[in-house]
Amino acid sequence: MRVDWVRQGREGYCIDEIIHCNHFTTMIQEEDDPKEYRWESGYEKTWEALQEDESGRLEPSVTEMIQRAKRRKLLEREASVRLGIMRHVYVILDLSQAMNEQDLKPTRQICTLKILDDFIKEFHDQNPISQLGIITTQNKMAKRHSDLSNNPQRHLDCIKKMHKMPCKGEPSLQNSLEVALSSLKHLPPHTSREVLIIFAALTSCDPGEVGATLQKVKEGNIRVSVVGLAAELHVCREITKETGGSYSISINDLHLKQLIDEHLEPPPASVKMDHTLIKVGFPHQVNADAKPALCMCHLDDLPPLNTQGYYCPQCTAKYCDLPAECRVCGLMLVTAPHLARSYRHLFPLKHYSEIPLEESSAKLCYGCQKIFITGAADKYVYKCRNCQQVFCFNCDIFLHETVHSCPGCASNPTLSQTPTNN
Amino acid sequence: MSMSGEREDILLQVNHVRYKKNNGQLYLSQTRVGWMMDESDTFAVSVMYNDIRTQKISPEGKPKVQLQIVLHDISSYTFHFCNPEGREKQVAERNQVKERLGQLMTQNRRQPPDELMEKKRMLDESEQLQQLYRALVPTAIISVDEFWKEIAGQYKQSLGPQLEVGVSGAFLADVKPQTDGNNGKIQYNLTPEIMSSVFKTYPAVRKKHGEYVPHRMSESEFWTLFFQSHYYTIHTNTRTQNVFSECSKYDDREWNRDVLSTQNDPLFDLNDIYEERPLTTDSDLKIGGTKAGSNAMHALMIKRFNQQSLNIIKAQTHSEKEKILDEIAAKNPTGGGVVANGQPPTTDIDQPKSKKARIEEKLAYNDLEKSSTTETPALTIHQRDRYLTGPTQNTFSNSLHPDQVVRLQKQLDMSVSRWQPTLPNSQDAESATRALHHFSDSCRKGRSAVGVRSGGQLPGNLHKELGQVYSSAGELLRHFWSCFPPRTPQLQEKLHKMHETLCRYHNVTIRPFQEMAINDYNCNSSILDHLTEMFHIANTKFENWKARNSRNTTPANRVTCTEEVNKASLMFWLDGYGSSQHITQV
Repeated sequence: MRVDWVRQGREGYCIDEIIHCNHFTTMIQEEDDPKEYRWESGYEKTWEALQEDESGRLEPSVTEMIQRAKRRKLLEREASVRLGIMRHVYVILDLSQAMNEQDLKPTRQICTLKILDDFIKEFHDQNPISQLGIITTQNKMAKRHSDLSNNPQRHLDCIKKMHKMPCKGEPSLQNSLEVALSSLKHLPPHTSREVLIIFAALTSCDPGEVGATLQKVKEGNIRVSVVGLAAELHVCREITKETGGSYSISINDLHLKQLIDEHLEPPPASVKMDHTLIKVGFPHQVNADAKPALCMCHLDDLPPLNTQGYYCPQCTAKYCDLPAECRVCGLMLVTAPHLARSYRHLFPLKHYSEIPLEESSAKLCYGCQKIFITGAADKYVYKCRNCQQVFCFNCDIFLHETVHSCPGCASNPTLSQTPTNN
Repeated sequence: MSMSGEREDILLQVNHVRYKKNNGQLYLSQTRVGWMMDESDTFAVSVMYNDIRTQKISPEGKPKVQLQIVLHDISSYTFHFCNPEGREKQVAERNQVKERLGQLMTQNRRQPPDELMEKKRMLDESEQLQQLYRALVPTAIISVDEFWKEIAGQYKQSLGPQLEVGVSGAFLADVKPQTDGNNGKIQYNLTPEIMSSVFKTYPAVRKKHGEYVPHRMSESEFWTLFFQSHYYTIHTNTRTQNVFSECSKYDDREWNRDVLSTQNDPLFDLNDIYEERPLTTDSDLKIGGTKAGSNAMHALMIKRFNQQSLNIIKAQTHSEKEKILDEIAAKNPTGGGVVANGQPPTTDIDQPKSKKARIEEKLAYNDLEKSSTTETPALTIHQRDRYLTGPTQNTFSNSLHPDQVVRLQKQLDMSVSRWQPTLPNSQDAESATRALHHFSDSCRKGRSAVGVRSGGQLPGNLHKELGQVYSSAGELLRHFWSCFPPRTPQLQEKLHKMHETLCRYHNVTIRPFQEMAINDYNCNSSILDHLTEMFHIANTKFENWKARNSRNTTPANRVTCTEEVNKASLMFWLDGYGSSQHITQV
């Protein structure tokens, strides 16, 4: 099987690597053919870079490749870019006939819903002051299943129900954008408004001109990104180009998960976004003279009358869980740790410098105490520029993606007490 | 029957119309048709359009020129047109009346008592809305209009926009006919969706439908003819007088126009279609080119397919144009949407792209251009320390000498190692007993216990009612808080109104609820404490705002009517719940 073109993605992500590792066996047969000249083939023989590990499995090398790509991406991100941290994101899910295909096991629908499940939990974890909403489109119509809210439980219930929904009909891009627009355009201007479309179909049946809706979306300062499951569509390319979003097509389920997880990070703020002061309330959990009350979040289910919960400092309405937006006075209620979670964007962990193993004098990784083995796995080690400690590749990824602080700097008494100018 | 009190505009008036052998005039207004006798000023006949089932005209050959209106209850009115100027004038007048009447009938039929039905439907759909309505409107806490404007308006907004449905590319193919084995009958499954798709794609068919159904033929007959016509089958039966032959003529005219515009476009290279392709020899294969349309049967089919596709696309852009025209009409209600020469104003979508723009579009490729970097605003952090440490007091400026520090440390070590607890000297007896009393009181009162009854739980009914009170109070409070900060005069007005509403709600609902709870269910009065506190805080906020505002404004602007209400409500609040409540200033 020949691959006649290699598409270099915009993000510097080399998709050909993944294509080739999937078709590993067929490539090996071609390699044996001696008559093949190098100029006939349009690709690099990257299958030679693949190696099986001891148990003969290829997957570790595939994951490693994905990780290297992730690292490359992290490097690209500059540190001092203003980000839109208060995000209002609508996820538009295509539930048309095309989702019944089985190229992602067991079906595209179930695979995507599982990935979305994780995405929702992660999103609320990493963006505590942002809100998420879910819209689906099928049968040429679009329906809003779950309004913009801070509470992940409602969205997770919605996703559970969607497992049983049959996929039929054609999707409608225009209708789904109109539904998202109807609620996003009323939001205050300092928030970042985003739409993520997960599109599997190759057609879109719209009642009018998509261009008109696209115009309204642009005026509303909304950033539309699309993750495609099948092939690249011109209309999606146009929409994402005009609104400043990203468009990518997934190859397999791992890749799909990675593409969707890219949207966990807050995007760079658009120039038109205002920056204003926002009024925020910090309710205390322990309230000495609190009166028993019904909580406002569960009024439909008749909550018990007690004093457990948080009272809004402005109007004393009670809520079970934070973060929340007070339904009575509209005040945003968060706790200090929620806000502190966004510090990693303000003070990000600087990248470590990559040095070959031979140049460094360290024998162990400072993070996991692994002994460095000279060979393919530990060819490069990573050194923090502040505390000069050395870390292995896995620790580097882990620290930069999840922990966001350097254990070397934190355990060093002189460095941790005097804040350096990073 | 006399005319209603309101003045109705007369849309058409015809003199010399006879009814039951009396001369008179026939009037058509927006909602009804009426006949008045000469030298009389009351309507002898007055029929609403809604009541009319159909209208009939006398056939061509008859000497009398008549128009009959048949009502739903089978009664009918016959009008005889007897214009002295002659039969042609009579026929012309009668046809004019018939057309206008037909239009007005369809117009009125499309608007049944819609508003009331819709309100009822909304209340049925949402139980929450129903509860709110019952809690607020009958007790005159909030007027009906306000309810529908404010609360229902928000509910409607949360439902989302009204969406239209596009026309699928293969909608006619989805009508899969099923053959019934016995009689050879073919059954078509039609859904309202398919019908509306057909109407959107072929406006000529929609017109025909309006004319023929239900007067001349039933729905099923109409659709059977449709499927037998040229729209669906390739073999048309031209012998029978076909309903759709006019439609086919209309379609052909449109088609020719479109083909002409496409052919004349210089940017399209259509040589392949209209000229014979020479036989090319390509590695042993001879590819024979045939001129398109050479086979008549194929040409007809291809033309039909192309017509249908083009109509589907036009249906899309047509609906968009309609929407834009609607928006423009909404902005100028005086009918400024139509320019003097009768053409609708051209919009962005209408403007054909200039030739240069189209050529440039064809030349530009994403991959060939340099990737542009978008400008991202830079993040500048001022006063970095404030992010990392909280506000601290002034640090102690004078520091100790290192020797002193060492000495103090040694002293501290020694006293800690030598310390022994001396309980009798830790506190004096008085303060100890006071503290004990204070603690045991708080424990008895308890923070988590409800203490309503000995059981500890609220009875079911009371709980439900309490929930309802909370939700309606919460709704009102939400409207109140949304008025802050009141920058515009409308918001200020709304604020005053909401405050009055809240006072009324307090009187009407909360006090009786409290009393009922105490009398019927025997629970202590603390169950509504939280809610009253919420009202109290709202009231305080309002008072503060008013005080601040009145300091700035002149006496003329002060709203005096609400002052009485405020005074009463303030005293009322302090009266009923005079126990010491800690009022937090907001």
